[in-house]
Amino acid sequence: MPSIRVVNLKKYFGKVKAVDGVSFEVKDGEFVALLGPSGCGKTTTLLTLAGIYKPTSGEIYFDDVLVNDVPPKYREVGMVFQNYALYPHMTVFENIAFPLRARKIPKEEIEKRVVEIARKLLIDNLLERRPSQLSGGQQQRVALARALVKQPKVLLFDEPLSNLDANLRMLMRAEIKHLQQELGITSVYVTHDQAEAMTMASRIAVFNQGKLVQYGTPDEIYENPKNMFVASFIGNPPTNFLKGFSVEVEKGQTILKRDDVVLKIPKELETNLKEVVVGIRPEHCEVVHNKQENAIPGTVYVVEPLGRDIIVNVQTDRGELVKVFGDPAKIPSVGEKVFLVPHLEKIHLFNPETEETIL
Amino acid sequence: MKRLKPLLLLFPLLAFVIIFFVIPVVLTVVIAFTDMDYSFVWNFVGFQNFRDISTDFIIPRVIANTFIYTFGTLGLFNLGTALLISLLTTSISDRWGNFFRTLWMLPRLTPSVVYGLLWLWMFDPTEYGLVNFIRGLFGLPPQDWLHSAPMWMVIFANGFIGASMGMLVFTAAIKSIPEDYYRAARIDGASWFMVVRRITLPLIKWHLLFVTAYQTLSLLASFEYILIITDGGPVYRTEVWALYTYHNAFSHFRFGYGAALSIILVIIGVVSALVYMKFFGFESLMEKPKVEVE
Amino acid sequence: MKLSFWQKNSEKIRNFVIILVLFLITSPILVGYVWLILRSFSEDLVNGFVPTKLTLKNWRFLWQEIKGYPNIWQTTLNTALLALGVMGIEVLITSLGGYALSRYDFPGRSSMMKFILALHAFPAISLMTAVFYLLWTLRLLDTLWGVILLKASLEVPWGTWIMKGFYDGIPWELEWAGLVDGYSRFEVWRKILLPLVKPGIAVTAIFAFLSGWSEFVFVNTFIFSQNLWTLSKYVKGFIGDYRFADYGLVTAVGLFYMIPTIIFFFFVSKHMIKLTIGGVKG
Repeated sequence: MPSIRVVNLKKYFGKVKAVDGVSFEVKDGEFVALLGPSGCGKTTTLLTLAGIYKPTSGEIYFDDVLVNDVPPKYREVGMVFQNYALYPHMTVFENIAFPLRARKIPKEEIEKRVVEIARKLLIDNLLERRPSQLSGGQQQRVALARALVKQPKVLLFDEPLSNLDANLRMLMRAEIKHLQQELGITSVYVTHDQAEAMTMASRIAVFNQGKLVQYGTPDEIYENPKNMFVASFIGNPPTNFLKGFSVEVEKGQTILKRDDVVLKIPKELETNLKEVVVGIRPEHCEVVHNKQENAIPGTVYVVEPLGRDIIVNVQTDRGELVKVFGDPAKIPSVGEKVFLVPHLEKIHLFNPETEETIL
Repeated sequence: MKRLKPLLLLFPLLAFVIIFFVIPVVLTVVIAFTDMDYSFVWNFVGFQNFRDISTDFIIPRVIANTFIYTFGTLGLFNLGTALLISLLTTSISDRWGNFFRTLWMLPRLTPSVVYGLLWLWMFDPTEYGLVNFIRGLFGLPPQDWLHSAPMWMVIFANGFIGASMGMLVFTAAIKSIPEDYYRAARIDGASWFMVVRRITLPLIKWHLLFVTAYQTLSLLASFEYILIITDGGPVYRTEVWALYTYHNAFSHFRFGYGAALSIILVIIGVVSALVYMKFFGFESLMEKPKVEVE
Repeated sequence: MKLSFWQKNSEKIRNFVIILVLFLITSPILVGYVWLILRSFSEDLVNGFVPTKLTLKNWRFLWQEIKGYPNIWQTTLNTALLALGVMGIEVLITSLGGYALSRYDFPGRSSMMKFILALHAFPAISLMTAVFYLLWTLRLLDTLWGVILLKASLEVPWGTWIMKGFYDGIPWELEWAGLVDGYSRFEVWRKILLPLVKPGIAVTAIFAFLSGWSEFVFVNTFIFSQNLWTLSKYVKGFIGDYRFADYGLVTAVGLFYMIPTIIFFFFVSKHMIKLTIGGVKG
C-alpha cells in the first residue's frame, strides 16, 4: 500500500485559487479526512489525487513516485462519488463489473470478483437490479463495491454520506471505518461534517479557502486548535468566542479583564498583545447562580433540551450569546441571572487580528 | 370579454396560421381533383390525377430517388456525422469543441444559393473543381460529377447542412450527462470507445430516436438544395418527390397534378406533426398560468 | 509505475487525434468558404488556392450594369425589405402570442399549443401549389409582401414557442408585484416583461432577418418581375450564366450576398448557438 505525499500543491482555475499551497502526507494504510466548509478546496485536492485534475504546480507522490503526469487509469485508485455516479442503465452487477471490463479481464474472473465483493458488502442479492430500484444506502454500497472491486491501492471518498439521512449516515460511518481497517487500503476521505471526520479518521486535514490550516489527530485538533477557524469548526456546538479581553502578564499568571470580569489564568503567557479573544467550549464551562472568582455574568436567553444534555444559551452583558452544557437536573429559567465559570485550563486565547491561538 | 383577451393577443398568430396553413391544406386537397393550370380555371376531373400518377413512368424513378436520397443522407450525415461530431467535440476542450460546432453551423446559416455555389465548385467537371483538383494531384483525370455521380453530390451537399441539427441535439444531450459518470469511468480506466459505447450512447437513446424520426420526415420533403445544384437532373436522376411536385406545378404549370402529388407530402407533414407532438412530452411544458386577473 | 510514452500521454494523444479527425471531416466547409473569399478577390487561382493577382474587378457588378440583370442596389434593397418585413412581423406576432400562451389560461390552450408546435414540422413544399393559387386570389403574386407574409407565417409557430419559453422563464412574482403596484396587465407587459424577454426578441429578430434575407424558393416561385428580384435570384442567375466563364464574378456576388451572415457569425454566434440548443431541447 503506498503512502501519499502532497508537496505544495496548487490548483488554480483562471483567477480562482481553489488549492493554494497544500502539503501533507498520508501513511501507508492510514485513513485521513480532508475537512472543511464548501469551497475550501478539499474536493479539488481529492480530484487532483485521482488524476482528474492536473496540478497547476506542486507534486504528488504515491510511494515516492511522482504521479503528476500519470493518467487516472494507471494510478490504481478507487473513488466513491457524492452522488454515487452509478450508471442508471446498467444493472448493479454491470456497474460493479465496469472497471474490470475496462481492463479486459476474462468473464469468469469478473463474475467471481464481483460476487465476492458484493457478498462482503451485503448486496449480493441485488445484483440484477437497476440503481433506480435501490435505496440510498444500497446505492452507496454499490458505489463502494465498484471502487473496491479492482483492488485499488488508494481509496478516495468524496462526501459519500452526505445524501443519506442521519441514522443511515451513522451506520455507514462505522461500516466504512471497519471495512477500511480490515482491508488496510490507504484512504482519503473528504467531508464537511466534523463529526464524520472525528469519528472515522486517524488524522484530519482541516482546509479553509484553499489552504491547509491544521493537520493532526482528532485529539490534537480538538485540544489544540491552531486558530479560531479550527476551534469553531470542530466540536458541536462550536466554541464560543468572547472578544475584548485585556491582557496583563504577571509573575506566574496572566490576568484577563473585561468590564467587571477578571479571569486569572495560572500560566505566564509570552505575548506582547494587549487584547485577546477568549474561546470557551460549551463542554468546558459551568453555569452557576452565585458570584465566584473567574466568572462571567449573564442572563439566561433560551434553554435547548436534548434529552441527555441541555444547552443553556446565556447572553453576556456585551450581548454575546454563549452556549454551555448545563445540568439536566437543575434547569435554569429564562431571564435568570447566572454566572459562567469556564474551566480555565481548557480555554483558548486568540490573537484578535490573526486569529491564531496563543494558548 | 375576459375570456377573449388572450385570443385577441393570439389573433395575428391564428390569422396567419389559418390563412397560410389551414386554408392551403384544404385547397390542396380540392385542387388535386381538378386539372387547373396557369389559367386558374376550376375544372373537376375526379380521380384522373391520381390515375395519372399511377401510370406516370417517371414516378417509380422519383420514388426510388427519394428513398435513396433520404436514407443515404440520414445515415451518412444527419445521423452518422452528427453523432460523430457531437461525440468528438464533447471529448475535447470546450474551446475546440465550440470552434468545430460553430463551423458546422455555417452551412445552415449561409444563403442556399451561395452554399449551392460552393458545392457546384467542389464538384465542378473541369479541373478547377476541388474534387477534380485533388484527383489531379494523384494523376487522375477530372470527372464530370453531374453525370457520373449526381446523387452523391446531392447527398453530400444536403448532408453538411443536415448534420448540424442532430449535432445540436446530441451535443446538448451529451452535455447533460452528469460529469461524475465520466470521471468514474476515467478512474476505472475505460477507453474512449468503451465510454461511448457503454455510457454515452445508451443515455442518449431518446435523442437518437427523435432525430431519426424527425430528420427522416424532413428529408422526405426537402428539395431546395437539389433544385439549386442539379435541378433534379440529369434527366430525373436526382428528381425526388418534392422536387417533382415543384416542377410539375411551377415549370409545367400543372397545378392539379402538382396538388395531387402534394397530397403525399401533406400526409408526411401530418405524420411529422404527430411524431413531433408525441416526442416532445407535452405535460411538463404545459405549466398552467398563474394569473387570473384581467 | 513504469509507463510507456503512449500510456503517459494517452489523454493528450487521444485529444490530438480527435482534433485531427475533426479537421478532416470539417475540411470541406473550411475549404469552401476560404475559396469563396479568395476567388472573389483574385483574377484567377492556380495550383488550387494561389491567386495570380488580387483584384477588385470581380466586384464590378456593384458599379456596372450587368446585361440581363437588374440593378444590384435595387436587388439588395428588395432583399433588405423582405428580411425586415419578415423580421418585423415575426417579432410582433411572437412577442404577443408567446405572452398569451405563457400567461393566460383559456379553454383549448393546451390543444392550441400542441397544434402550433406541430405546425413546425409541416413541410412548406406540400402547400405551395395551393399557396400559389391563394396569393393569386389575394393579388399578392409577384409582390414582396406576398413572400413576406408567407415566410413569416411559416416561421411564427416556432417563434411563438421560443418566445413562450422566454416568458416562462420570468418569475410570476414580477408580474404580481406590478399588478399590485397598480399597473394594468398591458403596462406590466410593456414595462416589465418586454425588457426582460429582450434576449428572446433579439434571437427571434436576428433569425427572422437572416431567413428572410436568404429566402430563395418562394422568391423563385412567386416573383416574376426582375425589378422585384432579391439577391438569391440574382446569384442563382449568375451561377447559371457565368459559372464556367468567370468564377471570380460569381463568387464576388455570392460573397456580397453573404455579408449579413458573416456579420452575424462574427459578432453574435457564440450566444446564439447556446440559445438554439436551449430552444431545440424545448
